[in-house]
Amino acid sequence: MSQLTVAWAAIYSNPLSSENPLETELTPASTYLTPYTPAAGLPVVPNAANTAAYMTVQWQPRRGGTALDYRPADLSVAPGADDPVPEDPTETTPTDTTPTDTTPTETTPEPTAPTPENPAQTPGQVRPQAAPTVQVVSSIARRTFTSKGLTVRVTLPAGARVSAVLVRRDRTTKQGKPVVVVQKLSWTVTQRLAKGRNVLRLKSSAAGNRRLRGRTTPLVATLEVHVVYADHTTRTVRQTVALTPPTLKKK
Amino acid sequence: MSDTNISRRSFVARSGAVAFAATTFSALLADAAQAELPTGGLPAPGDVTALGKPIEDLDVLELASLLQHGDLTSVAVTQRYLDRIASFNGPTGTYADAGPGALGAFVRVDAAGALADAADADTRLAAALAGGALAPLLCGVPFAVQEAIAIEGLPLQNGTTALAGNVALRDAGVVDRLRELGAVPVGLTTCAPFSQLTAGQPTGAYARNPWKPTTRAGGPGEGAAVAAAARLIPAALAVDGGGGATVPAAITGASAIVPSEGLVPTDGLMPDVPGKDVIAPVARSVRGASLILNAILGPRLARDPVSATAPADFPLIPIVPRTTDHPLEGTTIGVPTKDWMRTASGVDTSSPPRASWDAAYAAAFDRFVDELKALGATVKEFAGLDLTDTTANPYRGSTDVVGTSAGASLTPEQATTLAVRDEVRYTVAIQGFSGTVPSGQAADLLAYYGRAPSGGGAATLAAAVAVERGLTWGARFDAEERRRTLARNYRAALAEAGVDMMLVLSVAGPLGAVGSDFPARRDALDLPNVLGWPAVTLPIGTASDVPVSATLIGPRFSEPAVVQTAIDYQAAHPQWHTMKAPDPAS
Repeated sequence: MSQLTVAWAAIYSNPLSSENPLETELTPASTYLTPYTPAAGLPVVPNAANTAAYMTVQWQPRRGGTALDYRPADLSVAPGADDPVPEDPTETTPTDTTPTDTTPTETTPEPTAPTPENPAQTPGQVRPQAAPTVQVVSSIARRTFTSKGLTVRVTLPAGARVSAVLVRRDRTTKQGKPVVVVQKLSWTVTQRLAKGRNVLRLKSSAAGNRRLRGRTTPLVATLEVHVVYADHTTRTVRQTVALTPPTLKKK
Repeated sequence: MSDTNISRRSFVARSGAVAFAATTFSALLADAAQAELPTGGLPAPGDVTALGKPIEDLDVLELASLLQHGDLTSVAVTQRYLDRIASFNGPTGTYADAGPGALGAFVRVDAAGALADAADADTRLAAALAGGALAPLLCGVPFAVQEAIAIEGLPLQNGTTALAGNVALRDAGVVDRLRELGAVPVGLTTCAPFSQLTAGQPTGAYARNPWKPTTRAGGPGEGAAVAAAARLIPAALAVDGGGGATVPAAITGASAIVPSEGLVPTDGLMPDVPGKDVIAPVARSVRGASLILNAILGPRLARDPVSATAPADFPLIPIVPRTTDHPLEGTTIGVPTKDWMRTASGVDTSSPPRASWDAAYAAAFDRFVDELKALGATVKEFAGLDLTDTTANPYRGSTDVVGTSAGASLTPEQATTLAVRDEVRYTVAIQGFSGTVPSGQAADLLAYYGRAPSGGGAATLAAAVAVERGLTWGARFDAEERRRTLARNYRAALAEAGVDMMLVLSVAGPLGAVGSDFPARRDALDLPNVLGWPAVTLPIGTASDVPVSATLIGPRFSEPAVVQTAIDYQAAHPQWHTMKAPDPAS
């Protein structure tokens, strides 16, 4: 009997328990297994090009994953023997220092242990930095945005300098040529943030106030979060946010 | 290591469910794990310069140390390697045997691009030295990739003229990651045609064994191994679908790490054995290969869903040896007695594997075992899993029919391979490409990728596509479950014997002249690929002036333990991995 795995997660906001009703949370991924009998004669879903090819011969990246078992304990390294306890040098006599192992003619230099005099050298990055996780509401009332601002939650894998801004891009023509006009609807917030979860508040700019004033239809804007890590690698995350007009009241 | 059982529910939560959720909510999850070495991990630059090595003899960590401290520039390092390639490689792009006077390790070199990237890396390193942000450890280190891994703008022919005209339109995921860290791509290394021929000295392969130029290096990824061993590049990435990286590394004395399936994303890789192909770093030391592996591992959700099945926040794979007298104490290494050897007369199951070993190779292996024991390891023989037992092994080599497709009966291995071929548009892509190339080239493609229709007749690409498309879910699930069963049984065999990892002698005798096959080799060279397990190949001695190498194979995602074991050995016995193959001119 095969098993079908169903998994999901969702963004939610709880104004009763949160200090800031505009903040959102992501539920932990929920999963359950259900028995599933695959139709033996059912053909595998027809494949189709899903992404731009890497080369002229248009092979595609894989679309599914073959999950193989593993045991978490296998990820650990068995500890080696402890270092011998150092003896009190006042109680020992000098010993022959002639090296006994004559095989290696060339030694591989061992890493230096960090000390206060010789601090950890080049604690450089080994792996590429990860993209930040950005959470923001998908839509916000215009009045809330202009009065309280837009709350953006940024989770970083490492400390970084983060810039966030809400912009509107309009396509137009200038002297017959298509151009894109970028208008900042909020002030740009630039801060050095620590690893982990951080909260930014984007306040409406004067241009944003003018653009939204009197508007009766939603305005779709783009939240741009630009992250510069300590090693100068950068990541940019963009998400769409709809700025909605007030709901018309019945007379 | 403890033998902790894991429930199916928790397993699915770690793998399948994570893959599903990650694919669905990819925007909410990180694209790759990040890790920093707490102590740098590089040797002190003074210690490295005291060795008095020329640039080409430095391993990846030694190079990185000197680059980070401004004792070398990336341009100087890259130029030095380009000069050596020009001197010893022979002509590039010929797709012909290099001959005994040249190495034939590179099929394509991008000197201008490499020097430009090196200059950029120098700018980054200089900024770090001036008090700016620290540069990544691999910044400025040159590397190469097998001609099956995409580097944007370079032709990519997978070792054959049949794929002339195929050009990489973007970097493969692994190249993208190395570039981001400032590493410098120099070019593409040679491989056997279609990267398909694993054993022996395949006709049409191009690289020569630097230790014995009358022979080749014995595997699809031989160019990468030869380039590393002959000091034409500090490190390279090879493709391993069944020994493609470990075998040539074993023959040339290079160090290679074959990662667990899914640990390293494979997007941008030309499919050879799709579903079992992994990208393996090859270098002159295990710690060097480990630093490369640390840089390329991690999920790449939008491009390779299999990479989401690896544990998140994968632990840092060691690059530093333990400095105690008995670093391997607590590690139990098993030498399997039923890991049969293949000789000219076939697979020999009547006698233990070492009965087929060359005497000098056996002596080197025995000494290696003694050295491991001296470092504290417990090394013992154990049965392992007999792959000829169809109960324990319902997958590899099984002749059971799990389904039919377009009239073809499918074995379990064929079913899993076909499922992935359909995912990656294996033959469909060739079908489209063959319509754009000259007729002679199209005929070569047809000869390799075509298939005779079930009713008989000449081979066609359409018939091959029909078989890939005709696979059913039932056959796929059955075959994949058989593969999982085999992996579980093998893991149970290790647990029952209390073994943390296996130790094998992959190639058990010296290769003969060009054209001859291995005198003896393991039959299951593809075992790590079949099980999805990691393997580390490292040199352990010499016999008749050529390296003898061993391979450590551990359970899935046991890279930290297996690599640590190999690094601890190489730190204690550096004479083997620092051996220098003679340059062709000398």
